[in-house]
Amino acid sequence: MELVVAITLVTLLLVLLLSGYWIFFTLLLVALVAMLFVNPDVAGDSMLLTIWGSTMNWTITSLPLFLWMGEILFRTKLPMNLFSGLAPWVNWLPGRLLHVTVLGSALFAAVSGSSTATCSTVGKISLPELLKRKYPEKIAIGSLAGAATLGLLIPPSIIMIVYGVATDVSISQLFAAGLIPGLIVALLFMVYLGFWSLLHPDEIPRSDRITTVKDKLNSLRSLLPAILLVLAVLGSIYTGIATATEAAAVGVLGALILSWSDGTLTPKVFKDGLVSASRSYCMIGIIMAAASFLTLAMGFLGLPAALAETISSFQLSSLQFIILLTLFYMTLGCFLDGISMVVLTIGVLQSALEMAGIDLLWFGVFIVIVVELAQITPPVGFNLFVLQHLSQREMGYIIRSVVPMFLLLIVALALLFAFPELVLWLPSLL
Amino acid sequence: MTVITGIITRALSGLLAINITISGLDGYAGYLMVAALFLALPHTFFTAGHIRVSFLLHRTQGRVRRFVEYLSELIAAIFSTYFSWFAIRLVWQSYEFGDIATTADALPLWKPQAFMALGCIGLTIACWHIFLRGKPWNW
Repeated sequence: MELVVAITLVTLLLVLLLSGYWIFFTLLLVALVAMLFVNPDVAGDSMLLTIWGSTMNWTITSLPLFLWMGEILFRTKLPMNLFSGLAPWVNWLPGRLLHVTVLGSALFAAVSGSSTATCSTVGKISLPELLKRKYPEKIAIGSLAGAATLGLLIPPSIIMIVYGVATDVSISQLFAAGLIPGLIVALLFMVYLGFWSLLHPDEIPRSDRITTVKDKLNSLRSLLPAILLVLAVLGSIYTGIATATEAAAVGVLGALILSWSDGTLTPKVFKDGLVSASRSYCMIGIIMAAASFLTLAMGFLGLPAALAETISSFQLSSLQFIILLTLFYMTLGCFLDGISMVVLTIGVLQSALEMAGIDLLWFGVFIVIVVELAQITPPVGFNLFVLQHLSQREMGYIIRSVVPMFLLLIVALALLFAFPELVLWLPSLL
Repeated sequence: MTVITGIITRALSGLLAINITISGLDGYAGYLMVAALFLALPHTFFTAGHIRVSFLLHRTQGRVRRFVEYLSELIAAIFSTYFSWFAIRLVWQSYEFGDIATTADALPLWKPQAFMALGCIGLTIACWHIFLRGKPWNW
């Protein structure tokens, strides 16, 4: 009987998702059907009570605030300043201005929590500039696709807030855990770009001018407000002065001041940013609420416990388990976005993870990198769509240019597995 | 519909702005989160802001596609009606039993819950609107 129920639910889930059904409706419908199996009398009431309980949660407050902060900064002159501000600093590296995409993404990631936003913002500015200077398009697109995924890893990160709320792991701890892996991934990308450029010296255009110290200082001035904002937001979290929510409020305030001081804060811009942030929060929040009801329903069916037992009966080593999970998430990424992937699976997986002795904080960073991989994997890689739109190339070309970055992310995953301290060291200091 | 969404966005601007100043008061921050989420729901749904994975749907054409779309819209309309019904019921029950918040101010819970119900009703109207206008859904 239970097996029949489980198969029915999974089939329903897949049919609805694949026929293009709204994700939050899909989760709610599947959960409702599950609850109707358990106890039809209370299904409807428990649905609304669970959704009420999970939505009325002040710990999520940082989420809409960080979304809003990103939306405000996205509309300032910061994206434009990123290229001109960073260019003098990377001119001496092999691969020269290609590094601007990586560093620009890392910096933008530190003020915005979304990978897609990072991709389109940095891409819109740097791709035309690189092509104008005759940099090879393929490597420019590849570096952009890879680096944009830093938006998820480098705090503040929307998906980490979602994960933290779902698993009760502290959001400040998660933000601390993501920093070093984020820098490692950025470094891997830069090393790769450097080596590639050394191997293909003809394809990188010569420097058009000599960078002076004065250039560097001038460029620094345009980026300084953003860098200070990053330091204020992350610094207040890392030093323990502020919670993630308070830091987010500081971030919004700082972003508003920054936007006001560079003259981009008009009533229209203010309203657009707010509406945009509200829409994003509504989309993410309703998926989280729906997933919490699904988790409840699955709990009543005993699915998480059964799954944990089944997995532990396989006697997998933690390496095998992690590889299995990576493949599982990559498959899931074919028809779900990152946030839905996290909220849908984590409720069911949590007990299995605990039984396998996998640290939930470490897993938070792991899952974020796997979601990054999924963001640049066809058929539903959101960053691929953004890049296709930006570059007007066909999908096959984009996918081929992304392959090296994909492999580098796998390398990063392997590093984090071999040396978990890379993730766990910084949070342990908090 | 545009009027409604206009009001909603205004209300939301206010709500989110207040959100910052009183984020220390966790109870109210929670209520505002509920209001911000549910009041934005009809607008976001109506303007197709919610994620759908439509790569398979976009491969199909003509009758099949229209049939699948009508069917999804009908299910959404019926389901959201069901959802609203229970949202209103929750408000009604909280009112009837005099449920109050566990925070110090003992706020009657039906008040913040009414925002949830209001958003759900808006969503239901949006769903039926989309279904009844009969045009194929594009976004």
